[in-house]
Order: sequence, then structure tokens, then C-alpha cells
Amino acid sequence: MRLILALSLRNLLRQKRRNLFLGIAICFGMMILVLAISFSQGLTDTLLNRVVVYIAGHMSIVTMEESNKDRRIIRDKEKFINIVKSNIKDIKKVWESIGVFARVIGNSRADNAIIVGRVADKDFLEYLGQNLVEGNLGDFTSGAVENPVILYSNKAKTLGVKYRDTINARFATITKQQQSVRLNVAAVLRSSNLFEEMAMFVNLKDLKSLVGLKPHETGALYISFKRINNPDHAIREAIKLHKLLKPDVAVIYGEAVNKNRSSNATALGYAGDKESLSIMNKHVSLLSGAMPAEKSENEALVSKNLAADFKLRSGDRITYRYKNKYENLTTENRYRVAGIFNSAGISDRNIILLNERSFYKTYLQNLPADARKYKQAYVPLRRSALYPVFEPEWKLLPRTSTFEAMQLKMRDMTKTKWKGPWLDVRTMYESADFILKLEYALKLVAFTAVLILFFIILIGVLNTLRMTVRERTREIGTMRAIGMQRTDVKYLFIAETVLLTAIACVAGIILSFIVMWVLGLFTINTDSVLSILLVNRRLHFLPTAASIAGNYILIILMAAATAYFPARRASNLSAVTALGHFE
Amino acid sequence: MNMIEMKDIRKEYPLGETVVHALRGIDLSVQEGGFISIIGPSGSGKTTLLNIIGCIDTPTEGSVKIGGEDITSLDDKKLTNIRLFKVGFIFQTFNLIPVLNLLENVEFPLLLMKEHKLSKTDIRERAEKAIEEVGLKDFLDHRPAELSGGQRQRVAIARALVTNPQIVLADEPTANLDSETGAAILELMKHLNETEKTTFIFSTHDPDVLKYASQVVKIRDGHIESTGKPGRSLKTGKTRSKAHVGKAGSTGKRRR
Amino acid sequence: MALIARIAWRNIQRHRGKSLVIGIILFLGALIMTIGNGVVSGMERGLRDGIINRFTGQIVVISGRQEQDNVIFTPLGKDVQVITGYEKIKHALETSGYVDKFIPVGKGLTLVLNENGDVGYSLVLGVNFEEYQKMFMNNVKLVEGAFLNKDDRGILITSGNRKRFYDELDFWFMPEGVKLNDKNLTDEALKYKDRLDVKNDIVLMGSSMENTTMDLRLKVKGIVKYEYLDDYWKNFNIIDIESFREAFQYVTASDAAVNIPSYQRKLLETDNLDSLFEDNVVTKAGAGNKKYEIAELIGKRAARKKPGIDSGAYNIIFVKLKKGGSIEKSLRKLNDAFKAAGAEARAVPWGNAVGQLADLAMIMRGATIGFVMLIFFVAVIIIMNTLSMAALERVSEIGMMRAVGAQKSFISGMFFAETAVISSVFGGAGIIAGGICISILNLLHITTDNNILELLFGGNVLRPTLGFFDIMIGVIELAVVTVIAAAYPLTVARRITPLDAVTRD
Ligand SMILES: Nc1ncnc2c1ncn2[C@@H]1O[C@H](COP(=O)(O)OP(=O)(O)O)[C@@H](O)[C@H]1O
Ligand SMILES: [Mg+2]
Repeated sequence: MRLILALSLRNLLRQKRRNLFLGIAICFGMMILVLAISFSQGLTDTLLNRVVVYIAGHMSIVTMEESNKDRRIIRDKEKFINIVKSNIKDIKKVWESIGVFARVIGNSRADNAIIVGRVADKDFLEYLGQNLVEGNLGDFTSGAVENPVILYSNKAKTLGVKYRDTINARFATITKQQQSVRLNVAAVLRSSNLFEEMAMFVNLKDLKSLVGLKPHETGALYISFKRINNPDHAIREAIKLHKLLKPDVAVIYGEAVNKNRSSNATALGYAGDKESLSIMNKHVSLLSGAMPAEKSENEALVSKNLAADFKLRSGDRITYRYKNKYENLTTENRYRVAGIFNSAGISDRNIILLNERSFYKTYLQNLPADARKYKQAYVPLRRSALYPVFEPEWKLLPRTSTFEAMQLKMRDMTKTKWKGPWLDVRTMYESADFILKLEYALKLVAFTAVLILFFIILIGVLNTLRMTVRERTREIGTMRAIGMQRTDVKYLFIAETVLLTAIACVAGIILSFIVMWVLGLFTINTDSVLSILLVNRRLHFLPTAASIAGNYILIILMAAATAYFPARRASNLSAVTALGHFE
Repeated sequence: MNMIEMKDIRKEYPLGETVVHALRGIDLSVQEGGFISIIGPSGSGKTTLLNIIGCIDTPTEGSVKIGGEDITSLDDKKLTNIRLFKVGFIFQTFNLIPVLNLLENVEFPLLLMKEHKLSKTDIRERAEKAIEEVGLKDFLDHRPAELSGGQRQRVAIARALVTNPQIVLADEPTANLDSETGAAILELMKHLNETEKTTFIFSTHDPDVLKYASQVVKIRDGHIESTGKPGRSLKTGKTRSKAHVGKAGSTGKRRR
Repeated sequence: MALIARIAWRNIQRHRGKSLVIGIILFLGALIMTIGNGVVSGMERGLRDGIINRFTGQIVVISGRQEQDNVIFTPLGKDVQVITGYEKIKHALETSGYVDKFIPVGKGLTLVLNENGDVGYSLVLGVNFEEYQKMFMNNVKLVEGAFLNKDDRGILITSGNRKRFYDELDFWFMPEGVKLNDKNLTDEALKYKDRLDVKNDIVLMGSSMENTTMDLRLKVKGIVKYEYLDDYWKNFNIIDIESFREAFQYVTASDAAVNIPSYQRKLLETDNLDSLFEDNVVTKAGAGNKKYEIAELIGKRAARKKPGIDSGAYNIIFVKLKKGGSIEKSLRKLNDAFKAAGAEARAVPWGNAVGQLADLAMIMRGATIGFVMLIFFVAVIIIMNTLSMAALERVSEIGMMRAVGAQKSFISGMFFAETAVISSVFGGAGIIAGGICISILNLLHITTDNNILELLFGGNVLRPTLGFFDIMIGVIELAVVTVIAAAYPLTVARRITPLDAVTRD
């Protein structure tokens, strides 16, 4: 084997010109391949790491109220964070995300921006520190400055503001009211791409209170994983989470109050759709009064037991009070008794039934303490006939795997006009799949290009080898006559090609690194969307050892396969004919 | 007038660190119409000498005149023209153009004579005549690959003669042929020499061949060792040799 | 010559392997090159048709204070500066001699307001619609309703925007008095046809850089569609210029009043932040979830309107040059003229104005050309190698020819003839095959909804073109490649001496 290698190396050196040409071609092909791969990996890195993960996480839990995809509120963030943290693997970080589209006015100039709420954690402070142009990060973290804001230099220029200037911002709160606020510039950042420039950072806490979110509420929950690009894992975990998030019936446990007398009672919502109403009809008998109107907001059905307890009749008013889960508050609502009902199996229970509108109005805004902790609470069982009628804690949107499917899902959701929260579990592989598609397309194009290149190169290698075998026929004859084995002759030619390819590819890899370095020196100033492909206004390449090694081996195998046929022909020459050959 | 005049021809080949002295000072004049054989062992410098005469190689030192024209300082273009018009080559390995048939191979040098603009029929006639002379009339449209070694060498002779050159050079023309065919080729050359009055210079290392020659130049280690008629004892020379060969009768003189 | 050709041709046949290798490579190169050229020229034609002729003209004039040239699709709908001194600019354009037509427009992002508090957005163009259509070859096509006639107030909503509004805001915009037509409903809207919340008017609120805005109710006059590149232009609803100026508070007779100083005054006067955001009746009303009265407000504003449209303000002027005019030269002259006239304006090429669109197109063209270049580079190297090996393989033959009296030029001629024949046969076949591929691509009628591909296609349909000019360029490229590839092997062949033939063993 060593002999064969030594021989093939000598042969390579002997035929310098042709091997130089082939070497250049292979080297060039390899360079293009490495550049293409590194660029598309750089792109993935940019998009995943800097854009997608930064903006949306690998996975997110979003709940949308009133079937409005922009009304994103998670009422009980702790509950979801706990579920995520105790069930989902390889989590790097779970964070709250709130971003609002805002109209901002600086020094007599206005623009649009997205105000993003951030916690000044280590990662974020490090990022700020690295990109600080002017200002004082202490202003952002100390709490001494009211509503500190950090923005990018281009935006600061547009608005004509500097450190310590004020910016007036107006945006809609979660209840769609307009909120105007004065923000104080704490720092100005250097931006690395246009995409980022649209964002302005304020403290998450500040923004939450500005948009009307309570501390236990949030906009959406984003989850990032330790492995930056592992779609399988993200999707697997999303499916798992989706399964875990099956909703139960939403139950409020509290007390009904009437004239200083109180009695425990469970409030439930019932669905107003045709199907549910027909189930109600079948299993619930209305003893007096009527069903509350669909649009009414303060009417209730009271169970026979409760009505008897308080001697209630239809048309009477009743106060219903319950403990909130957070902030140690108590919520008190007054309802008009629209009707009194009875139902088999629960006739001994104190139950108040509310329509969709009135139920969610109180349930969402004043989240009740967990009713399942109270023995007296009526928690409908899954097998009970009325179970499907009761309003759930949330409704789960089906998992989707493409952007289009997700959009369709959202549209369908919008049209339901349901008042309760819709919950969606997403991964960036669907919400940002257009970006991934772009990357995929880029890779595909690059791959085709490289394939055509190597097709041409390998034709060249094949032809060269063919001619070489012809030229060296006598030599082969001599070697065979001396006693070299057929297979050794074959390996000799294959070894030559493989050796050439291996060396040329190494040169190609080195060259590609030089090219990457040179390209990285130029800054590209573009305002177009394409700037999201750039990092610090430079082309971003991310060569990885694994991908380079993989392709290196692939190309060597391809070269060996190409060399196989002429090599076999050479080895099949008989010593006599080979020696007799004269050209 | 001498057809060829060579004065103190030296040829050195650099070979790595050392220098190979292929010719170490050759003086040689050849008169018109001779049938001269250069003989010597392998590596003695026969080929080098013929190459220099044939204008495909230049001497390191010394001067060469062909038909009175000094060729030592000519450029490639002029040298090529001398080869085309004054010299005919017969190679050891036959060297025909594989893609042309016999007739086309012989026509080839005539077609190259652009300045002379020979008419097509003229070319055809001359080529056919040359082929007829070498006895291959029946093979006009054969490709070289379809001919035997002897036939190919005949074609080469026809091609060498078709331009009516002043000298025909043949470097070991029979080396790749069996002795019978070789003899026939030499007979043919001798015959043409006699009928066409063309000067022939051929090299050989085979003493049997000498009997055809009108003059024999014997070289060894880059010197002319002796010149003379075949059959006679040849005069010997040492470091530097001078020979004058020509028609039968002329005697090579020895200097020093 | 005949001899050279004959020998060359026979050599091609003799060394079939070599000829085939070079041939295949040249064929492939020529094929890809031809298709690439076809696609690129189809793209350029498409962009010319879709952008220059039908949306921007060759030159776009913007305010001298505008920082970025990219004014059509600004990030987050960032505002474009108002052009001041329009009279001077107009005069400069009219007297230039090389400008064919021009049209000033207002362009900006408006919020779309709604009783329930949801806010949408829309890009709008404020134009004199009749002139706009004349300028841009009637690129706006009617889907439903009617166009904006002279002196009409109202909005033309694009069907793309209507769909978006429906998805986001749940309204279905219709011109007044027009019945729902299933054909014009989206699948989604058709599904909910019975429950469709149909609206005949829209409430817009402009947002100018100077923060001088107001909300404005506009009648939906028609639903429209852009004939070319609708996927890009559909973002722009069209409103009459006067409404535009009202929405953005550019309602002025003189440029001096463009920057309404009310904002600054208010900033000094009051601590009430809400008042900074102008009289936002709708949003304030929306906060209380009450119905609002806006007609009254519009009445007030309208009364302030001054006669003479052209004395007002615009954001952008689209300029078309006379046939054959050079964009660069005209740009230079125009900018000089503006300077001379003291107009605070800047003329920029259309590509700058459409920023990312032109960038994308350029990248696409660059990638295609780069791709062809890569292939040719590798092809040249492989051909060089193959040919120089072929030259060396024929040393004895070539050397013998030289010995017999062939000049170097003869050898070059023979060698070149061989390569040229292969190149013209296989390369020619490649070009023809490329042409066939292009016709097939045209016949296949490949369509796309992908915005980026649409740019490459120059429209919805892939229509590569291959004109005589493209073919000529292809032939020249092929010739250049052949000459480059053959040059080195040629010198190798020329360097072969008769001696090489003789001394070879
Ligand atoms: N191209 C060359 N390079 C180096 N040495 C050469 C070359 N050609 C010939 N020689 C040397 O010159 C000497 C004469 O060679 P040559 O003329 O071929 O002899 P002959 O034809 O008599 O066998 C030999 O020693 C040979 O090795
Ligand atoms: Mg010899």
C-alpha cells in the first residue's frame, strides 16, 4: 500500500501540467462548495440565531383572546412556565415576549417602531454593552429613570434624539386603548442589520404596565433550546407540549351572596353554539325563566339548589364573589337571574351558569384561584354528559407544520369570534418557514451549481485518466510483467486520482477561507431587506468542520468512483498486449 | 560547389549538472548527388548530426551551410522553409500523418508550399509520380495504419522526394524493419539516388548496410573517426575530424 | 486552408473521446449560458415593463432632505420627506428637453382605523388618477366599482389589500352600490359570505414625518389591481391627492406652511401627551368603545382646502425620459438643474427608489451570471488540460509536420480549427438546445406566487426571452471561452519542435 502511494505520488509529480490543471479545477470546485455551504450556514446562523431565536424563540406558546390574532395575552404565565420547565427537554431559556407597534415622536420628527420589552438579564446586558454607542446602561437598569428606552442609532438619527432626550410614543394597549407615554433615552446602540433597527427596548416590567398587563400576565412565552438548529427536537417537543396542554373545563369557585347570607357556589360558562345548546336542552331542564341572551353580559342561570338556598326567582339579582389567583384580590360580580335550572346528577350542587361573554369577561380579567383545590367545588367530570358544553380554560389550536397552514388556521380562528383564549404551540420552523425555505432554496441552487461544476470536473478527470492509461500502457505492461497484481494496478490509478483530489480539495478549502476572509473585509451598505442576511453589514460565513469534512469525503469518493473505470481498464490489460503496445 | 559544408560543429546537451558532448567538432562537406552513410555505434552522435544538417536542430558552435546558405543564424520561419524546399526527411519510425491517406501524406509538403502555389493537378501528378516510384500505386487511398512497416517507409520516402529536395536525410531508416524489407528500402533509395541525382545521407549502425553507400562517414563519440569508400579500410581521426565526401572517387582527408 | 480544415476534421473524428469531452463541456456551458441569458433578459424586460414603465419611470425625484433613496418600500413604512419648492422642480422638469413625462405623487403609510379599536395599516399613493393612468400605461385595472374621476374624492383599494384587510380586520371593502360578486371574493370570504362585514368606506389616518396627521373617512370608489407586478404594487391603495394631503395634513397652498408648527407649539404649551397626537377623534372615541362622528370633522378640514393642486406638497415625482435617453446623464443634468434653480430636490435612479426590489433583481442577475462564469471557468481549465494533453499526445505527428516543413502558424491553424469546429458544433448545439429549452419554458407557462421568484421571472409567469442580440452575445461568449481555452494548448503545440518528434522514443 505504501508502495502504491509512493508510486502514485511520483506519477502525480511526473505529469505536472495535467495534474496542475485538474488540481486547479478541483480546488476551485471545492472552494465554491465550501463558500456556498459556509454562506448558507452563515445565513441559517444569522436567521436562526440573530433574527428568529432573538425575536420568536424556537418554540412559543401564544394565546389569543376574542379570536384576534393580535390580542395576545397569557393570563397565567406561571402555569405555562411550570409545564414547560418540567416537561420540555434541553431548554436554554424561557422568556416573556411583548412587542407593540408604536408611533414615536422625537425632536419634532416622527416614525414608526416596535417597542420590545426586555429583562435586563446577563445576555441582554452583554449584548447592550457590546453595541453601545452612547448613553448609560445604568439608566436602564437602576430604576432611577422613568421609562428608560434603548434604541438603535439610525432610529435615533431619524427621530433626532440623543442620550437623555425624550421620545413620545403612542400605542394600543391590550384592550385596544391608545396609550401615550414619554420615554427617556437611556442608550443608543449600533445596529448590525436593518431588521434590528426597528426595535426599541424598554424594561419588560414598564412595558407590561404600559400595555395593561398585570405581573402574572404576559404577551407570549418564548422558549429557546440549547441546540441552535435542531428542527426535529423543536418539533418533537412542540408536539409533546401540545399534547400536555389539553384544556380542562374552566371553573370558578366562590360564593354567592345575597342579603348578608353567603353560600359556596361554582360558576361555569356554557357554550352558545347550536350543538352545545342542543345538549343543554337534552340534559338541563329550565324550571323557570329563560336562557340568558347571547349578547348579555350580566345574566346567569342558577341551579335549583342554589335558588332554593337563597329563595331566588327569575329576575332577582345575585352577587357572586371569588378569590383571584394572584394579587390576593377578590372579584365581585352582580348577575340577574335569567332562569333556574336543574340537571340530573348535579341537582344538589350550587351552580351558576354564565354565557360565553359574561363568563370569559370575568374569568380572563380576574383569573380565579384553582377551583380544584376546593372539595365543595363542582368540577365536571369528563364522562359527564354536560362536559362538552362547559367552556374550557382555553381551546387548543391544532399543530401545523407550514406557514401556509398556520395562516389558514389563524384565519379560521378569527372567524369563530369565540371570546375565550385560543392557545397555539408554534415552532419557528413553521412561523418562520419562509426564511427557512429561502435558505433551503439557496442551498439547493448552490448544490446544483456545484454539482454541475463537479460533473464537468469529473469528465475532465475521467478523460485525463483515460489518456494517461493509454500513454502508460507499456509501463503498466512492465509492472505487470515484473509481477504486480491486477488489483494493485487498479489501486495505483485510483490512488493517483484520490491523492490529487485530496490535495486539491485541501487547497480549495484553504482558498475558500482566504476568500471568506477577504469578502468579510468589505462592508455592504444596503437598506434593502437583504441586509437581514448581513451581520454587521458584512457577509457572514459560517464554515463548520463537520460539513467541510463531509463534503471533502463525498468529493473524494466521487473522484474514486470516477477513477474506477479507467483504472479497471488499465488493470485488465494483459502484460503481453501492454508491452507490445506502441503508439 | 558543396551541397553541405559544416565547420567545427559542436553540440552540447546539458544533462543535470554535467554536459553531454554529442558532437565534439565536426567538419564535413558533402557534394551533390552522393549516397552517404553515417555509421557509428549507438550514442555516437549520428542523429544529432543529421538533425543539424536537416535544420531541425542547431549546433552549439560552428557553422553549417546548405546549398551555400549559412543556416546557423536563421530564424524558425526560414529554417522551416529550408526544410520544406531543400530537405527531405525519412524517419526511423516512419512518422506519417495518421489521419491522411497515402496520397494525402505525400501531397502534404506540396500543399504546404503556399508561396509556390502549385495547382491541384500539379500536386496530384507529382505525388502520384513519387508514389509510383516507390511502388505503392495501388495503395493511394490507404491510411498509414493499414500499411506495413516497409510500405510506410516507402511512403515516407515518396514524401521526402516529392518536393524535389536537394538532400534527403534518413536516420536509421531500416532500424525498425526486418532485414529483407530494410534491404529493399535501401535498394529503392539507392535507385532513386541514381535516377533523381538527389543527395542521400543516411545513418545506420548496421555494417551490412554499408555496401549501398558511395561514401561512409564513421563517427564515434562525436568525432568523425574516418571517411571513405565502403569496403576500404577507413582512415581514423581523433578529437577533431574533418571529412570531405562526395561523389564516388573523392577522398576524405584527415586533418591532424 | 482546406488542408488545415481537412486534417482538423479528421483529427476530431480520430480523437473522438477528446472531442466528445470538450464537446460535452462546451455544450453544457453553452446550454446553461443560453438559458441564463434568456432568463436574465426575460427578467430585465419584465422589470422594465413592471417597474420602469408602469410604476416609477427611469428617474425618481425626492426631497433633498430625504436621507435614504429607497422611498417606495421603506422599512416599517417609514415616512418620506415632503418635497418643497415643487414649482421650481416642475419648471426644471418641463424645460429639460429630455424628460418625456412626469407625475408628482404623495406616498405614505396610513393607519386604518376601526370602531372596535383594531388598527390596520395601508400604504397609499395620493395621485391625480387620470394623469397617473396616462403616465403608467393604464397599469391600474378595475376589478369592481369605478375609477377615480377628476375631482372625485375617494379611495381605490387593491384587491390584495382588500384580502389582507379581511384577514386582519375582518371587513370586506366594497364600492358603494356594487353587489357582492362571488368571483371577486377570496375563498375565505366566500366561506363566510353570509356573515361578511361589508364596508363602503374606510377611515385612514396618515402619519407624516412631521407628525401632522388626521383621520379621514373615504368612500371606496373601486377595487383595483395592478396589471404588472401586482404582488408588489398591491400594497399601495390609491387615493386622490387632496384627500392624501388632508390625511397627512399637507393641506397647504404654499410650501412655507408644509411643516405645520402646531406640534412644537403644543409641545411647549401642554403636558397632555394625547394632544401631541392631533385630533384623533377615532382613537379617543375608540377608547371608550363609542360610536364616533367624523363627517363633522372632515367638513371642518375640507373648508380649509385651498384651490390649485400643484401648489401643494408631494413626496415623490416619477419621471419618464424620452426614448433613448441615458439615465445617468439625465440624472446629472437634472440634479444640476435643481441646484441651479435652488430646488431642494434630488433625482435618483429608479433602482435606488425601489431599493430591495432592484437589489434582489441585481442579485438574481449577478447570481445567474456568476453561475455561468463559474461553469465557464471550470470548463476552460478542463478544456485547456484536455487540449494540451492532446497536443502532447501528438508530439511526434506535429513534430514530423514541422520537420517536413509546416510552419508554426500551420500547426496553430490546425489546432485552432479543431477546437473551433468542436466549439461551434457542440457550443452551437448548446445554444440551440438552450433556445429550445427557453421555448419549452415559455410553453410550460410556469407561474409563481413567490415574490422573489416573481422578480426573477419578471412577473407571475416565467417568460425567458432570447432575442437575436442575446444569441449574438452567447456566440461571442462562447467564442471568447473557446479562444481562452485554446490559447494555452496552442502555445504548447506551437512549441513542439521537429526535434521532439525525432528524439521521442
Ligand atoms: N536531447 C538530448 N539531451 C541530452 N543528451 C542527448 C540528447 N540527444 C542526444 N543526446 C546525447 O548525445 C549523444 C549522441 O546522441 P545521438 O546523436 O542520438 O546518437 P546516435 O544517433 O548515434 O545513437 C548521446 O550520448 C546522447 O545521449
Ligand atoms: Mg540515433
